[in-house]
Amino acid sequence: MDKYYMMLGILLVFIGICGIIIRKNLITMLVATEIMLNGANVSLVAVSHFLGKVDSQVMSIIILTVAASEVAIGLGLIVSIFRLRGYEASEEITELRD
Amino acid sequence: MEFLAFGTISIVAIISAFMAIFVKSPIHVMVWFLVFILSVASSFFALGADLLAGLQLVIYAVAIVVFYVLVITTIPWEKVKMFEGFYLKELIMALPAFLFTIGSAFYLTFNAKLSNMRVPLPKDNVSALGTVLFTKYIAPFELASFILLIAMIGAIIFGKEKANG
Amino acid sequence: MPSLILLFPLLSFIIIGLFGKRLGDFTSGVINATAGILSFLVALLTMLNLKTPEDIIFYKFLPISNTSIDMGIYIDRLSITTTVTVTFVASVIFVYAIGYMRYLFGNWTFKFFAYFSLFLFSMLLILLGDSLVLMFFGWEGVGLASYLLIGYFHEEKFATKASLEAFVMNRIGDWSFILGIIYTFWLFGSVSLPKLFESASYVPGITMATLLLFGGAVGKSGQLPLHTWLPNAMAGPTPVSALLHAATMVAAGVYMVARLYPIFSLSSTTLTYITITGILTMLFAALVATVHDDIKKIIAFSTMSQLAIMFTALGMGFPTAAMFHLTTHAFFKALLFLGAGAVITGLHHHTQNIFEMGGLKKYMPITFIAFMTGAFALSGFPPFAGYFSKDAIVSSVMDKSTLVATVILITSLLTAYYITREAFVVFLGNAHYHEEPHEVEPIMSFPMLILSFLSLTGGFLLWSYFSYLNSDIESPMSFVLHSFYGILVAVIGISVSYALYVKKLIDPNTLYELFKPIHKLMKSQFYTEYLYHNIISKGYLAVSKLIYKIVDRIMIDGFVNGLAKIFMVLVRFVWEFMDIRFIDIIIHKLVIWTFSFSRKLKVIQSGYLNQYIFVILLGIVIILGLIVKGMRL
Repeated sequence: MDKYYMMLGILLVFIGICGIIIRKNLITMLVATEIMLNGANVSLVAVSHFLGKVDSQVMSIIILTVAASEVAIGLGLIVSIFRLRGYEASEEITELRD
Repeated sequence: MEFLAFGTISIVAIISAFMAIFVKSPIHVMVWFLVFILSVASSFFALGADLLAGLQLVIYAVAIVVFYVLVITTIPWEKVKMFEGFYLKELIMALPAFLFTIGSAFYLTFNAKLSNMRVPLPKDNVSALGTVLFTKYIAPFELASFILLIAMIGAIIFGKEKANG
Repeated sequence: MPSLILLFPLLSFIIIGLFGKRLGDFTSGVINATAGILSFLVALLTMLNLKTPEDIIFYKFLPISNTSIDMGIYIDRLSITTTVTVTFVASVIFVYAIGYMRYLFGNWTFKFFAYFSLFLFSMLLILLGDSLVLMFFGWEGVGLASYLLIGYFHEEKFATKASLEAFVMNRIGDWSFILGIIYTFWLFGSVSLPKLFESASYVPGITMATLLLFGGAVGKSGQLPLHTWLPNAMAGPTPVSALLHAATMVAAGVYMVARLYPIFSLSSTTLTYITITGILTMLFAALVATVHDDIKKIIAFSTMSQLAIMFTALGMGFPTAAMFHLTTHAFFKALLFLGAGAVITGLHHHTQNIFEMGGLKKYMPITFIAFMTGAFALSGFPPFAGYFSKDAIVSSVMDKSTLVATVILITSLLTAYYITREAFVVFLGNAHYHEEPHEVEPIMSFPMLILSFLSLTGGFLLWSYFSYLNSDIESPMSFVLHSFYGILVAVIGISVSYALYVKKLIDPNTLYELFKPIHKLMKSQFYTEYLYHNIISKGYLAVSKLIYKIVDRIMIDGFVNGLAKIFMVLVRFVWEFMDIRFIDIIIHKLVIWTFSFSRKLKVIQSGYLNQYIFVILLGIVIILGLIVKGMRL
């Protein structure tokens, strides 16, 4: 049973990567990042269920926390970029300075 | 019984993830994302990690999704083109890599011999987790709080208007 | 203690050489003379204390398999007596030299005294050295000192030429000498004198070795055929002529043969050859001296002649007689030269031609007495010293070969003639001078008086000398009887010159007209000087100039220049063909390719986020693959 959850977790991670590669809009790219993180969490919890210890759940909590803060920062960055450039497509933001 | 639960959860998760990355409008993406979160939370429940499931729901479904929606609304979508298409070329180029990696990972996981190490989880998940968290992993816990603090400060700075300097 | 003999002149040389400029010329002269006197005193003391011949070794110079060449001093009766004589005469001349060189003080004259000390040191090395190698060092040293001193007036072309001539001829002799040393070493296995004396026995090849050694003596003592440098060496200051070319340096050749007599006596061929050289040279020199008119050259030829007599005595087998003649000769020859120097100084260096002088007796009485004493001593007039020593030789030789004895007697006749000729022409008669000559100062006349005294009385030491050196000599009675011919020729010679030059019985000028061709022959030293200077050396120079023009200029330079031209052509070809075509193009292509490659490579850095993530994915895949590969499944 846990094997299958692990496989699910791996699949979710790859779906997330796929999402990053595909999307052009920065916001939706971040969403795909979240999908990746969640996939990792699933894998970790599956491991914890298998081992019978809660240690990997601790790691999962921390990942959760960090994911939240990362979202905050990321979106703040996107807002700044938008304010600066007026657009937020990854195609057009290719150079560090004009 | 477990398989049924697993099957439902996994199907929902995969479908919602796919939809989340393939729809055009950002708001639709957020909706599917929400579904995805719920399915992940239910998978946590199925695996016996109660606290995590609750935390997941609170943090993701409430805080993060709301945050995303907030940011999406600040963008004047009439000035910016909402959807410009996918990078299909990259996807096609990446498909073999995906297939290879997923295939090999599945193969490995499937053939791993795990059965003789099985130990059941403690019944009271919350207290077990709390005990471990505050004794063994106190340092990462504190660091995580520190990270949150920094992130908060960063977010505030980002959010400032330019005129304030 | 005997090493102090060597030490004093060496120290003097070093001190004067280093500090002479600061010490001043007079002080340098005093140091020089003091060193000489101290050496003499130590030598005298050593002689009085000498019991057996001793060999004091200082320093193992060159250890070779089972022998070694050492440096030390060898003191036996022969060497110590000669050392006493040499240091005595040297000290006397050193004192004289202070007065003689006074007119040159303030003009770096301390150099002169330094060279003198160097000379004395080297001479003592020859005399006291205990091996042939050390003798050779001293040999070279006196040659060097001679060069430096003859050419002391280095701004006069004639002096520099003369010093170079002296050095080159000396060198030819030295070449023969060193070959002789090598051959001796090869024959006997050692160059150390005591060892040579022990192991001296006839071996085939000894004739060659001794002939070569004698060659060195020929060069050093100015015998035929290496003789032209001696009259020309008179270009140096008179004390130099007195010390080097009369009393000591030229006597080194005689000393060397006498020293190595145990070896020389083994080869009768060499002895015969020595005798022949002696006879030829003595006649030659005596004839030439009769026609010269430079006050110092006449005395120089007489040196050559007297040395030849000594060599003849050696060749005939009488080393002790030769050495005794050397001793007395040192006294009166030095005296003659000092007198000549006094005359030159008294005339304020105006002239050295005797026919421009005359009647100096009333102006310079002390010099007159000194010079006459020397002249009579040289003529062999009893009871002066020369009579004893020369007649010792004549009577010894007479028993062996009447021919040789006759030649010596003829030479004595000529010697008496020409030296008294010089004395009478310079001092007697009357002449008036533009600038009145004056007697020399005591510092110069006192040494002359010392030497005059010795020239007068030294001869009586004959018997003690011979007994000290363990040689036989006849008793005084028979000695006087056998010396009849010697006294006879001396009287004839003196009276002839008296008649010609004082009484003017026959006018010298008519005689001159009569014998003009012979005069020319003899004046030019039988054309030997002409031969050497013009034919041999000029010819050699011409040949080497020719070789230079042909070989150096045309062949070597032409070859090198041609090579350079070919090289330039080659370089040009390489540049045109290879440089421009290959290398420049290659570099050009390289540049272009680098730019295009970088342009293609720039695509990676597109700035597109999605592309970056795709690449990250690929990287992850690769790493995963590696991990999987490493896992045991």
